[in-house]
Amino acid sequence: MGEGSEKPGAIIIDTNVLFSSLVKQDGYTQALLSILLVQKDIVLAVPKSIRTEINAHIHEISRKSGLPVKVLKDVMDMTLGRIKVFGDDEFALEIKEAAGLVHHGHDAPFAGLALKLRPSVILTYNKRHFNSYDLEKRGVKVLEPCELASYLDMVIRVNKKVKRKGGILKLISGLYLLRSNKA
Amino acid sequence: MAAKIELEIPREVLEHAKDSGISIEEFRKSLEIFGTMQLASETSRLDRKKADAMSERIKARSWEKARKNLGL
Repeated sequence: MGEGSEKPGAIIIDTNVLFSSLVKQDGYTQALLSILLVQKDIVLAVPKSIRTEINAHIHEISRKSGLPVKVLKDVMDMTLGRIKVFGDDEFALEIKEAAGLVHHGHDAPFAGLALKLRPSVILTYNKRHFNSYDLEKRGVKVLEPCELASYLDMVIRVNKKVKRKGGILKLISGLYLLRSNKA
Repeated sequence: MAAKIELEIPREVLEHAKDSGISIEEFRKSLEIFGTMQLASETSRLDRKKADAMSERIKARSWEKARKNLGL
């Protein structure tokens, strides 16, 4: 099985994807997150410093979104509460390595964590911020939410011969098949 | 405190899903999360552009602190 078709051990969630839970038009990403968040076999991860910073800016987020702080906290608890956090010191070496693989320094912790947990996927709306080619050579795929279902479907088809399905159904069946594939 | 809403799903659909190996408990949890996000975002003023800008600012501030802590 090639590197590009390896089952991801972890999915690193970029902040812009996390914030999709607060954007009205982002139903697809919300559905995707809802399914991923309850999967036991796939680790969803964020750097701890990001979670801390989101919590520190909850009042600003409230002001800009118009959502009450309590509502925001409930939504964030439901999402961030199910995502594994890693202290930046746990992957400091990888952050240094990642500095050359991102276009903005502040994306280095995401790429660094992805390197630490490879084979992995960075789920983001800003693929252009990452050097996808070099990251992929190191076992890290950079994908937008709309690409993840197809990617998992491809992983499954390499491992098992299954009928193609579409959209969210593809993702759900894919995740269940990944699980049975592991067994 | 949590509030409950009832959902009706055709029995045949539910049985078919169970027979296909889908865990109804996991599906219920997914629906809870999805419903919470949908209800919250329906009244949100954030669009994708504003959310991206806010995300970038938060990442930049977080990175400033992390760099200092890690001595980078």
